[in-house]
Amino acid sequence: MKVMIFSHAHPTFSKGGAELSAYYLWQEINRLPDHEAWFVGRADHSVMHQFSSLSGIGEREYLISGSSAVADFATTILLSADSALAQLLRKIEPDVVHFHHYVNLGVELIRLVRQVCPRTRIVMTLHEYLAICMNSGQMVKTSGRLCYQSSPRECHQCFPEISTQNFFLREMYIKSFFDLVDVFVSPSEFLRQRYVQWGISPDRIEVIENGIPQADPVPPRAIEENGVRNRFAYFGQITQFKGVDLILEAFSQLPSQLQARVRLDVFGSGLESQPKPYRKKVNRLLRNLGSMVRLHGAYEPHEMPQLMKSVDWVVMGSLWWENSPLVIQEAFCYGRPIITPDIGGMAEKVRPGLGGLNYRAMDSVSLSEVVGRVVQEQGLFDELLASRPAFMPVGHFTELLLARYRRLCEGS
Amino acid sequence: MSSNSVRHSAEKRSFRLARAALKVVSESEAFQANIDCAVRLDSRRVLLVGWLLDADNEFECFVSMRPMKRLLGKFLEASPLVPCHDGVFMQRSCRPDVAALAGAPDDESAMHGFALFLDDFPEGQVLGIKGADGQILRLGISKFEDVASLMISLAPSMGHSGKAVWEVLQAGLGEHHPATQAVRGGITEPVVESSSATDENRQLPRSIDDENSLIAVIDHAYSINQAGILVMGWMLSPRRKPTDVLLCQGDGRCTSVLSLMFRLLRDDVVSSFAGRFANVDPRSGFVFFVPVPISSGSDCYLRVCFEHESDVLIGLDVRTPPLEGVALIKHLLEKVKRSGRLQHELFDLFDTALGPAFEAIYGEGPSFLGDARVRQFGVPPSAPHTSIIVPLYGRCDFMRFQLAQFADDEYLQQQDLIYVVDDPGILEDVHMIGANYQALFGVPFRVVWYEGNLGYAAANNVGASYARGQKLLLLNSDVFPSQRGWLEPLVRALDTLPQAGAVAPLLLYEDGSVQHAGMYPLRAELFPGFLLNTHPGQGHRWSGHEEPEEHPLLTAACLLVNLAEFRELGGFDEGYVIGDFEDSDLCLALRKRNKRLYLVPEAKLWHLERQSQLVGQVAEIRQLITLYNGWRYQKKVKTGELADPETDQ
Repeated sequence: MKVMIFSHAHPTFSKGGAELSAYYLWQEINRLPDHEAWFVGRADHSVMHQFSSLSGIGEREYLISGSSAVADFATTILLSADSALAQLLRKIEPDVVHFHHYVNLGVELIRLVRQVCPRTRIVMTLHEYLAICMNSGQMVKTSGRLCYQSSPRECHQCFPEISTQNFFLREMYIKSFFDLVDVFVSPSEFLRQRYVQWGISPDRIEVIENGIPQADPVPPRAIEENGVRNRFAYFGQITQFKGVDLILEAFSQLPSQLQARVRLDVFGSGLESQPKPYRKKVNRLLRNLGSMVRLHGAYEPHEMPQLMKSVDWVVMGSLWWENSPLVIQEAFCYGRPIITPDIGGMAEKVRPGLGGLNYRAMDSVSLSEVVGRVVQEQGLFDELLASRPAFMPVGHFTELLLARYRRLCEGS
Repeated sequence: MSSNSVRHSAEKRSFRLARAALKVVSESEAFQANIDCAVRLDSRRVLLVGWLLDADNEFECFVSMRPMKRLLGKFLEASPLVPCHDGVFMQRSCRPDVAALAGAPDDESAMHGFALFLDDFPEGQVLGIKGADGQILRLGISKFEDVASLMISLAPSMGHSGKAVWEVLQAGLGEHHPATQAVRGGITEPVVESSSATDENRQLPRSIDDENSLIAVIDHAYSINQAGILVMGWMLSPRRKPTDVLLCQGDGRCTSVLSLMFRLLRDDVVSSFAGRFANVDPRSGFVFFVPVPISSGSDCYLRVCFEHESDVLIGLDVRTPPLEGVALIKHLLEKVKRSGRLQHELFDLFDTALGPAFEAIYGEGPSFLGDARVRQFGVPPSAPHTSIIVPLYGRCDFMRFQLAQFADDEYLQQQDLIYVVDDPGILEDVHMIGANYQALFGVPFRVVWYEGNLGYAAANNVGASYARGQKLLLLNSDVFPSQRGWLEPLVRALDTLPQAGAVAPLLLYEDGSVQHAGMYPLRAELFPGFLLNTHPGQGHRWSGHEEPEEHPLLTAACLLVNLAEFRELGGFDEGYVIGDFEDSDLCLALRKRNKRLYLVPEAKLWHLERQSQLVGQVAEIRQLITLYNGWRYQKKVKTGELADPETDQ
């Protein structure tokens, strides 16, 4: 089977969950006999050739330049019948084109595929809520409150400069392309439901969890007998939506005798590109927390096992629904209980008592209580560790998808 | 400007100067200056209007207040409004009359005039002007006048100094001060064309200030396209009412205009004369249109007749209007709008005065003279039976959104889609969209374009002239199909329903509520006299039935007609200004031919129409234009040119 995978980015330039997942899939398919996969990652024009929008950087591995407007995902990638992309599609004649995300690429590519290769089946993985929500696709109101259902009128409340009519046009335009997709893949049931509510027929979206590379669990951190599981870690970008400030607030609200006994390690970067008030807030919290919190900066995926060694618990602070965060899969894979907000994809993946615990989303007091509980409750760590669900190894993920592709090509 | 016309204006000016009460012309070797008019605005503040000749570009003004001198500021030629010291503002203005009087070079850019606003100027003081060479000129002021006098004395030449006066008053007193308002009401445009009036006419005053008979100012006398003359102004006759007002031409022919005068509220006149008379007629303003061809510069005057009194003559300075077409109509409506409080009388305003004037101004609409150009995108359909005309104006991204919705509709792709670019500003973008998206969406279409903006009716008519089908679908760019296969039921309905002349789909707002399910005639209480349209059921949820139903009127946002019939009727009437009512006009023209109109709810499309204009009571210009169009529409119904939507079956 010939599969062409489009990704909104290439992992060389950015290491978000979506592009990593697309890349793992591509590598994995190519390991299998009888299958071939191509990877087309969107890249900035600055890293491309001057007169060519396409660049083959390796065996079945391409970069394509262009971008899409957030307003309606109209693309700047050339789509004419003689464009580089149309030629590539014609040359490969893939059985399946799998779009991992539509952001940056633009939704119009879907119609190009349909037009140039009418027999090709089209699959699209949905990663967050960008088609539904202009606020970075988070389904969070610009006021910070969670959004439960979008409509042109409500969206206009968040973005008064964009008219209700323009929100309607955006939705109509995006859907006109989504209509051409054969099957959507959602990594979580929660996200699936949001797209169903938005208008995609339920029988067209299937839930398949994103895969991560196979890895062995990391043994629990060595502690003395009757020692305390008191080391917490945050993994990920330091952005407003990820709620690092909320985690810091929760730690500063711990009773003082507990404060002396816990430690939080923050792995990740991005604070410098956040708005100034947010930077000031985080820095102020960090100052007040002193040695309780340690900032480690960015990390690479292959460092994960090493970093996991020194911690007991993984903590998330997200202020939005999330979809299926990679860090949850990783915590399950390496064997660390995870504490997450009780909403959206996080609540779906981490059920209380099974590999982790939830706290009331956006509520630092609630997180503070959970942190206090897990440090003090004897045996909880082992209980949660033992009850954690299986993660999705990329090999299995690939098998599931290939099976789905096959059924699709056979006409179901 | 010819030197002849400058002379002429100068003579008019000298006439006015002679009438004025105060005038001190001082001369020095270096320059001359004069204060034409000194007005005491209240106990402290004054306005000085005058001119300055041959001074260097830069000069200094001061008020001698012995023992000390109060420096007002330095002024540059052609400077913008100068905020000098606290409470002092000066603005320069063009004064060709002054230049001509002094035999100075004919230089339009020379800013000899000035208006000076002073916050404090005690009686008996002297305004000093000091040239760059150190020469000093002192101007004494013997008498202060009131705002009413200012209005009368400045009105005929407001174009020269009025704007400057208005600007300094605005700066000094604020926009809403009665004096500012009074001056604003009278501002006219500068003289632009040459005039060849006879000596006799030139001798007639352009304004009258005789409280025993008449106080009057003519603000405008416009010659309209050789079709008539439009006159605006105000008159007060505190002692007795005129028995008639005649418009007289040089050859002695006179037309009574008293019954043609629509009286306008003039608060500015009221506030200016409130001190002089106990009762000032609030409706001293007037506008009238006489359908007599009088060209600019003609000998022409108003004869105001009184019982047992001699008539009063006011000379008319007939000019070509400074603007034409829609711009002139908007300009005139702006002037009328200032009157305010007219909403219940707007029909009379159009019926008495402005309607015939606007018809003369707009004629049959913006005539399309140039060649339109056409570009084919994609492979033209071999035998289209329907031509779809979509005019584009302002926004062209609608085209991309429409094409996305037209894609994958095979029936539609065999039709003749024509985008008409009625907006040169978006032409390049339209070509870009065509080039980038035609192949992707697979919908062939043509783009028709021309220089200029002809408006909705003419754009459709130009588009229709290229039609290849036998049927014509008139489609707005903000209408989008909600599903494929929407055109077939419309075509079927037009072909099969009894006497079908036009059919339209159900149009829905983006939230699914009804935008259009048939139009009906409306007599709106807010606008008595007018025949307007309404959309019953607008905003409701659609009841759900799909059977075609007959309606008295349909919107043209999406309307299917037979091309031959559309052409026989001459297409849309292009005489509606900017565009309203052309759809109901077309519907009634069809009904005049005993054709019937059907809504076909089986076809459903989105119409992302912005809010209707006639909301609220604010007499905005666009709304006034809509009402003018409504007046014209009703006139066509009255004369039987169109079927009567209220009575005809």
